[in-house]
Amino acid sequence: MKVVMKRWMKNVLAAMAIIVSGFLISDIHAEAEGEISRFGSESYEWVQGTESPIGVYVESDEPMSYVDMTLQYDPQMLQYNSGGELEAEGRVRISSGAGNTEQFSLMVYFTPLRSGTTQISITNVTVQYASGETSTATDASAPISVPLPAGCALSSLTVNGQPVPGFSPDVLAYSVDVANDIATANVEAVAEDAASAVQVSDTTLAVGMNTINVTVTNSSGNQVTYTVTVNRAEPVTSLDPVSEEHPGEGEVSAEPTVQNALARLTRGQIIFAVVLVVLAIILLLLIATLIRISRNKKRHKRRHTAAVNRSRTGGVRQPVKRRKPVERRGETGQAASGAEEAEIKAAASEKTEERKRQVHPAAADKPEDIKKTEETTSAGKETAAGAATGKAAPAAEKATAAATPAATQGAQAAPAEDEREIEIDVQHVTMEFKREKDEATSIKELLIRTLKGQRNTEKFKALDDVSFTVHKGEVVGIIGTNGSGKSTILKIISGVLAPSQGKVTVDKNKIQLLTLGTGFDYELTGRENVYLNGAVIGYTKEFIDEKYDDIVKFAELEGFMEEKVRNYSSGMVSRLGFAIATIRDTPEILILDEVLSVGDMFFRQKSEKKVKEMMHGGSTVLIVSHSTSVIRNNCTKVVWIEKGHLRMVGGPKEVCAAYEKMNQG
Amino acid sequence: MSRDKKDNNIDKKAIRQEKRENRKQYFFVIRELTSREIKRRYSRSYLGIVWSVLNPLLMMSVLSMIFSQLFQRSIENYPIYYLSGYILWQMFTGATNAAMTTLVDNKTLLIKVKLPMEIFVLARVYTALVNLGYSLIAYVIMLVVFRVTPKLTMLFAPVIVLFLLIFALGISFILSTAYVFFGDVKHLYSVLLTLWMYCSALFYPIDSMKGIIRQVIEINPIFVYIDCMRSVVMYGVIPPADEIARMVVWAAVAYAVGYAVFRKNKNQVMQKI
Repeated sequence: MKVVMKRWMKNVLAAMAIIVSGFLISDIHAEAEGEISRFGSESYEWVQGTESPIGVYVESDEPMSYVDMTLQYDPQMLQYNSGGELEAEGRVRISSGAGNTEQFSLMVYFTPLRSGTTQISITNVTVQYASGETSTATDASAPISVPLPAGCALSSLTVNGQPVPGFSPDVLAYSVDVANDIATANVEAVAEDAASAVQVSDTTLAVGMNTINVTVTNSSGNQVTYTVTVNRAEPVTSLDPVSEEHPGEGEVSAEPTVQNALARLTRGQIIFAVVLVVLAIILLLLIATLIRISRNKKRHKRRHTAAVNRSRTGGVRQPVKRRKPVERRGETGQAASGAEEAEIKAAASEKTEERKRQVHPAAADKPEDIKKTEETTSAGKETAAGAATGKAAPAAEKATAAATPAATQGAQAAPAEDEREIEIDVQHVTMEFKREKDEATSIKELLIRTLKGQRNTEKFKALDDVSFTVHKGEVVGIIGTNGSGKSTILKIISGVLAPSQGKVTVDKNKIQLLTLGTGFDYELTGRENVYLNGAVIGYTKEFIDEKYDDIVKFAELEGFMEEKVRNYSSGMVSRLGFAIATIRDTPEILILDEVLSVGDMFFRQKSEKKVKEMMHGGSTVLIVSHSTSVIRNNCTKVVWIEKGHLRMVGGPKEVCAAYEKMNQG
Repeated sequence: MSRDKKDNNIDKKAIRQEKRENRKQYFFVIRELTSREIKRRYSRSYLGIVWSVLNPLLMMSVLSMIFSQLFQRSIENYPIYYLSGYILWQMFTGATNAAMTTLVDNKTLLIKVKLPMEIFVLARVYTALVNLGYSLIAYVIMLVVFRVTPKLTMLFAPVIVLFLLIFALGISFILSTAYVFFGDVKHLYSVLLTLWMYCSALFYPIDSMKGIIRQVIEINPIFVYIDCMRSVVMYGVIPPADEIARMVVWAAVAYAVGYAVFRKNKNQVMQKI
């Protein structure tokens, strides 16, 4: 395979080499075929006032019979003397027989008028061959410099009091930038020789480029011209049309500037403009897509709310309304509505069934009902205490709608719980994730899909109408297989996610989510990670300062703290994480997410002891685990969530047994 | 009714107190995250944080070597001219580039801890500011070396940096949100940044540009900040009012739009992550 690849590569390389060399050869050939015009030298240096010759050559590889061309020069700088025929000031026509030679040459004579630099160029070269065919040749030009005659140099040149940048007597051209508010340049020039005369041309400035000539004439009549290009800035406030109008420019200038601007567009600017346009198009497309998406979303939402309303009118009243009758009952002590009567009935029948702890087979299919009945009990008893009636009542009322025998049979609530406050109240929580079927991960894909209308979304319910309550001081375990929504419910309870429907009532400030190693950075040392992780889970700096030694001691990491966590063993990392997370005073609500299986056996005992301590400190604890043994050992109540549905709420033994049974089956 | 009001008042006070505590805590978190970023960036290098000082100096010398000949006439103090722009530009790109990926990078933290999402963006932008602080050491050294006389107008420089920071924050909010949904943003943005850099007159004089490009440069917000910085530090002039106004407006608009986008998409971002 490799050999084949290599041969293939070789072929490609050879082909490329042939193509490239072909190009090169053809290029050389093309050059050889052309006619060339040139001057005798690359550049010339002449003396002011002295007639000087310049050689003009045209070369071809075939004999030429006739040559015609135009020489262009600056009549201000040079005076044409002889050699061709003067067409106009600045243009000399040369047309001559070439005598069937391959090289044509001719001397042309000029006299420099003043010093400075200029150039002569050959243009419009036409060649006629012996055969009668004509051809054109390339243009050429040569720079000509005329050194300064004695006494013509300037010793200083200032514009508006500032010396022109880079001034030197030999350099004849300068450029200066001035602000927009300067309408006249103040040019001061001092000649080296006091006997020389200095003359400055018009110094009024238009916006943009202005050329000011400073001419120095020495005692023998030789002249040197320094040119200063003054660039006057454009008006800063282009919004203000008045400031753009400039005296001396007027309306006439408006049209030429547009043309100038177009003429000034170089290729680079055109490319730039094209790039900008492409970017703009991309942006527009993006915006269009976004608008489309949001419109879809809105439509979706509308449909959704409509559906919800329908279900509400058909079934249960809205939660806001539900509270009212209960409050009234609290005041009057009377059953005010049929619903409440039913509820009381439910409570009564529940009492008779209270000791029937077994889970009815049907209960597994109607887990909500079980739970609701449980609520009913508490609601019924708590009316006098009144503390949690508001919260418990809705559930109680709902139970009335479905006070079926199956529901009453499955009652679970332990009498002791009823007296306690409800700490966490999860009501009809539904969490929907909208998932696109094979989701677009790039903008391009998204665009194509959107344009084709192929963005079919699929709703995925991580949680479907889950309700339960947790009373103060309870240790509640949440079990379920992987991906059943355990973590989602935790996220919703701790306020990280907002549910798409339903609501959770809980004091978010009391919650402490205990997860291990959140935000550990393996490039940092142990000490740095204690601060980072501590900060992230809500400790203040002072608190960490104070407890730092305890943390290290509990994690048994003395002597390792200045080392990078990268070098820790995994047990060490989780020990440190556990130590940081549990060092705080016991929070009121503690959520443990798969925490109780950390480190070696001894540390596990230690950590379990610590967690038990925290539990007995009176805090409400939520434990998430898929290990039934952890839950059996620690919990007083278990919530079983399966595939987003609430399967069962009850004592640890029953629920764990059912859970295990299901897993085996 | 009145009892309700009283309760409300007490509640409000408690809430305010709590908010203050929260804010303090958030500052602590931002500081910790920032120190992590910085330690992390240099965790495997010997010179460490010194690079923050060295980098602008080296860049300056390289570019000065090449371009100071070219722009000798139009820029009087090329190294300082370049450096003034470069450190600001560096802060902007540093902040936006880092903040763009912050939500994805801190995925686990976001999911497990109830911190406001803004904190992660803020931490990255703040990191860039700290880096600018180190670069400023280099800048001050160069100011002394090139004999730029201290001027009263230099006191205005922190204000410019502040506005640039707000501008960068706004852009960061947008980018970080967009990056969660589209990884392409990263590549697109790097191209855009190059274009943006060339349009910011970082290493050439603005006067050498004509026509459309010149206009683009002048509209470019980054150029406004850089130009203000230069006039304040190099020429001892308070920038003209319209330039200051543009500076403020750019910052305000970018921040407002960015924050709005960020907030609106908060929940979607959470779900997506």
